[in-house]
Amino acid sequence: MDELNLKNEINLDDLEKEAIENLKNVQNEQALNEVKAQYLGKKSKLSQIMASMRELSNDAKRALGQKSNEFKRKVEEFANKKRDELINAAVNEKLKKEEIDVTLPGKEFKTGHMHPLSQTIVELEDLFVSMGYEVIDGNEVEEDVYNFEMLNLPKGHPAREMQDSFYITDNTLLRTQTSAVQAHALLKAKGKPIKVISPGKVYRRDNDDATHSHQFMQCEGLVVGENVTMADLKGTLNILAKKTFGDELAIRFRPSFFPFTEPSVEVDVECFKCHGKGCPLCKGSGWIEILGAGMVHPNVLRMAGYDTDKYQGFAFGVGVERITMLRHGIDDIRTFYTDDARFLKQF
Amino acid sequence: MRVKLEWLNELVDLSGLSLDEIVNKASLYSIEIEGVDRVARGTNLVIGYVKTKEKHPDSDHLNCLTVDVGDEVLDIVCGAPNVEAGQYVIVAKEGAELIGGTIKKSKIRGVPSCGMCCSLAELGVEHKYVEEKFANGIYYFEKALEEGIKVGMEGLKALNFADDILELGITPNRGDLLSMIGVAYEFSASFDRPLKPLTFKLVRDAIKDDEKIDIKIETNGCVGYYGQLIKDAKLNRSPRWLISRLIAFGVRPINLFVDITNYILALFGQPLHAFDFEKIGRHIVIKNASEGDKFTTLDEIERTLKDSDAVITDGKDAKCLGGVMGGLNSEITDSTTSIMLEAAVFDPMTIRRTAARLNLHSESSMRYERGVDINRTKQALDYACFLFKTLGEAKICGEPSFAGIQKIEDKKISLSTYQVNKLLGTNLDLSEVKDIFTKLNFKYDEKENNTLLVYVPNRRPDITIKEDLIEEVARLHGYEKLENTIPMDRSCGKLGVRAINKRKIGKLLTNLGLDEVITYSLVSKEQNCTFTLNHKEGIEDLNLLMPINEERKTLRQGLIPSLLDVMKYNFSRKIDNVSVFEFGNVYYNIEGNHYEDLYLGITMANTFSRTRWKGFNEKVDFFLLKGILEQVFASLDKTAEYVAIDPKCNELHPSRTAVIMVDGKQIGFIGQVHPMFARKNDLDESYVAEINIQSLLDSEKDVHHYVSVPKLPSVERDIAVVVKKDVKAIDLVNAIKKTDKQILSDVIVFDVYEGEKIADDEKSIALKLVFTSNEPLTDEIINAKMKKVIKDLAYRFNAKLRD
Repeated sequence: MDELNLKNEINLDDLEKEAIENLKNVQNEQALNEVKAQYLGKKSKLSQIMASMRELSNDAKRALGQKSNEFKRKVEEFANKKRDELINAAVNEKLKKEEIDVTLPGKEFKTGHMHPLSQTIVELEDLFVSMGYEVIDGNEVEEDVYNFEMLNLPKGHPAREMQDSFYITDNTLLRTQTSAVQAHALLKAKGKPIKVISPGKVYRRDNDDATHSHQFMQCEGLVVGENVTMADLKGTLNILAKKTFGDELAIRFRPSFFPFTEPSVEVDVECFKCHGKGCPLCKGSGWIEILGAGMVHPNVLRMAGYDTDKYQGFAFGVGVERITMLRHGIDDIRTFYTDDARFLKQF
Repeated sequence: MRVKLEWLNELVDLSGLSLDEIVNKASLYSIEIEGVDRVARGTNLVIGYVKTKEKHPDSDHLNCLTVDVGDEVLDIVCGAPNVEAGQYVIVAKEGAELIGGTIKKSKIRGVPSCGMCCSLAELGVEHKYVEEKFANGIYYFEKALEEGIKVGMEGLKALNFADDILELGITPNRGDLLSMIGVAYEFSASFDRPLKPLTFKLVRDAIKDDEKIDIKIETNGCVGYYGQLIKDAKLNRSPRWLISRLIAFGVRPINLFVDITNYILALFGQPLHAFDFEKIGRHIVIKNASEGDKFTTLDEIERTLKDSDAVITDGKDAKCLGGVMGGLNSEITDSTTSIMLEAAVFDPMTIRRTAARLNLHSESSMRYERGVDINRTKQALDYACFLFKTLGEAKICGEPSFAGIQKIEDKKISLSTYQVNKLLGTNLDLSEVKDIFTKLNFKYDEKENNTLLVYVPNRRPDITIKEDLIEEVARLHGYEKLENTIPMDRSCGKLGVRAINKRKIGKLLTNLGLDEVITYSLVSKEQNCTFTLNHKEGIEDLNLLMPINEERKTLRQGLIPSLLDVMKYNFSRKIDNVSVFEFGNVYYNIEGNHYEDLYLGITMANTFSRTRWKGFNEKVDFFLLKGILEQVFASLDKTAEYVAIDPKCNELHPSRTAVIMVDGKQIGFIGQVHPMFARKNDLDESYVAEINIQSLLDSEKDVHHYVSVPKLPSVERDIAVVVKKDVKAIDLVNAIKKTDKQILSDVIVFDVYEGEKIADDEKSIALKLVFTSNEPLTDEIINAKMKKVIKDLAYRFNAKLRD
């Protein structure tokens, strides 16, 4: 028994050394599995030793059992360690081969762009909706009565010359101004307060050049109520100007004339380039004209069925191209309608 | 209106105001100053007296002058053919800055020259204002002594061109500012400066009985008419002050008679017309023209008259187109000595109609259209007579004859401070408001309750209601004093459902890589006849009565032609990955009624996406565009059907075009641009789609009810069936979907194959069936469903399972 013990002991210690030595030398996972099987598998020396166990005394069995478990644990532990090493090495090898040139360009996603005029309109809409305005639509093909007559521009009025129009029939034309929505909106409101803006296309019989376009866009604003004052108009346009051109910029009113407002004003914003000092953009004046506005002419209200002793209001018309051009330094209005992809992608 | 400041200063005291102040304040309180101009420019210019003139020793055309400029006598070599000794000329001394450059001492062909005698052109005077005798040489003062021209005087001052000219941007309501006196009133109010009244003393001469003019007005087109006989007028030379003022005003000096009438026009805004008395006689009748009558105006063009035109006649024949232009048959000539001078006011509408119809816009018609003040007409006529007498040595034959309305009373408008403050949001008191009307030279009566009865003079026809008066108060008080407030109300802002949906689709399409474009609504007739699949039956184009050109003649009925223009533009600039969309109205006419609908157009061509170095290049094709449309419809909660059609046109591919149906209605089309059409138009392989999207955008989306997510994973089964080539995939899918309403949740086409092992007239379609249930799905259940599907497909489409 002692002999056997001794033999086994020696055998297992040697075997462990041998196994670990062999494991140390394997080059890949498959070889590792084979070596592992050689020492721990069914046909291994360990199996033979274990098979001879039944001949031993209980004490010897226990001792051998402990010994063999120890052997198993150590070999397995070493094999696992070795496996991790091998996998790591293999992965590292693969990673090395997977090197890429990170400076190559990524997949080309073509992102589209909203037209700059649409973007301006969205901004105007959001601003005025936030101030309680409803956004309404208008027709582009309009009756003379709405485009002119109900705006206090009877047939033969000299101010009609200010806007040469595209007539379709004697009484139908392409609207020359978004103000044409005023009469529609007022009639619909049936003599009640109203607070709307209406952006859209308008048309004038101009030859296209850098500053003229036979088609362009405006945004009309109209507020009618019992106590809507010209100071309200100024405050409202002040917010518009600050939002559009910058917080520190003032606006000013200058006397002007529109048949559908009285008083009428042109509105200038302090030049955002030179902040009022005078520069080529503002032609040295320090101010840039941005829109026309005024208090709704009582004739306009009356024609739409309003009690002018009670109601009054203001209206304004913003040139969408004009403010977009000013903001982005665009010097030719035709650019908006040429739709060059290289232009559009800048917005 | 061009306003010469030297002249204006004679009418209103502007002393001590700088040009900047005048320009800025006028713009803020009165009227826009569009520019500041000068007739002539140059420095270091003095009046010189040509003492001697000798021929240049070495030239045929040059002369050597000695010119006395006061403090020295200069040697000047001069090439002007009209220079003579004894002339008073304008000398640019050494160092003078002229438009053409700086004057330096030099030798001209060996002779020293210390300055230059100037022509008007060298001083920058426009050619049209230069009299013929000075056109090809230097300018010299013909009546130097009479006009106070002295050696050493500043040159531009001597010409009366040393001051600035304001260019007023007159709005159509302010016809009163088309006269120097009107501007004087305006500036007097704006700058709070006193007016300087015009003083002159006219003594009229006696008139013989048989010279008395009688005037009859037989038309509503004439408000009032003065006729003044002037005899023995001499066509003297117009003085320098008259000429210089006319040039500054922008009118070419012609001769004394014409110059006087133009001067009165500029000063009073009162047009005058001078008839040759011999040609018109003393019986004047103003009446409507006879319809169709021919009449030759001063510009020698024969005009056809209408009965709405007012004409001045001798009782029989038209002699003048009233307020618009005189007639050739009564024109004054150089030999005229007896003049019938007309000072009249015509009805604005009549003049406007006539001038517009004949496209004959003159300085006179412009003023009549905007309203001329009859209350000032007599004074204007008197001043004209005064000038005829003093400058033309004429006999003014008695008081003028008159017909019509002689004086129009002031309009009375009541205005309270409450009304002013209510409209403006100000807090003005009565004295401030009164002060403004005093500045304006408007009289007023004070009434109870802080109310004024304001007397608006006839010179201001633009003021008719209290709001007009409030505007006067507002601007002269100063808009800069208005507070910044905003309307106080409880309104809640709202963006319409159409705008919301439009934004959503725009965002979707740009995220998918398409650019939004905006193109012109006006197109050519030819363009409107292409891509007509969406044009409704029996509708007509809307055409302009007066288009600018053929390219922009008609309102578009579709967006595709304009979008293809954008594609073409970009292709020709080597940009090949262009995909664009546009929201735009289309316009049409049904039985005389006009309509406009909002459309969405999309065009795509060539490359859609790519990674070049990987060799990856996604070409645009029908199904790419269709996929994009499906996204559009899905985001609007709609599903569309695509029905193949042969468009039977030159623009679209005959077998790659479909109409798009939503809720059983055709709302658009999708297709490939016909390769021949593409070639002709320099386009690549292009795909287009156009949708009448208005009603889709206008429909409000219902709030979704949540559908519970299945607890168990789905079961998928694939089958491949062989069918005839004309069987449509959608029909197979729909048939399969019909076989089960409970657990079959989706049917996906994942392969289409034609070729080897499949008969020539057949194709194989592979379909994935997805079954979903909250109960476990056993093979038995699925197999039974699959069996049903296969049987059904075999029955309906003669479909065979592919091996």
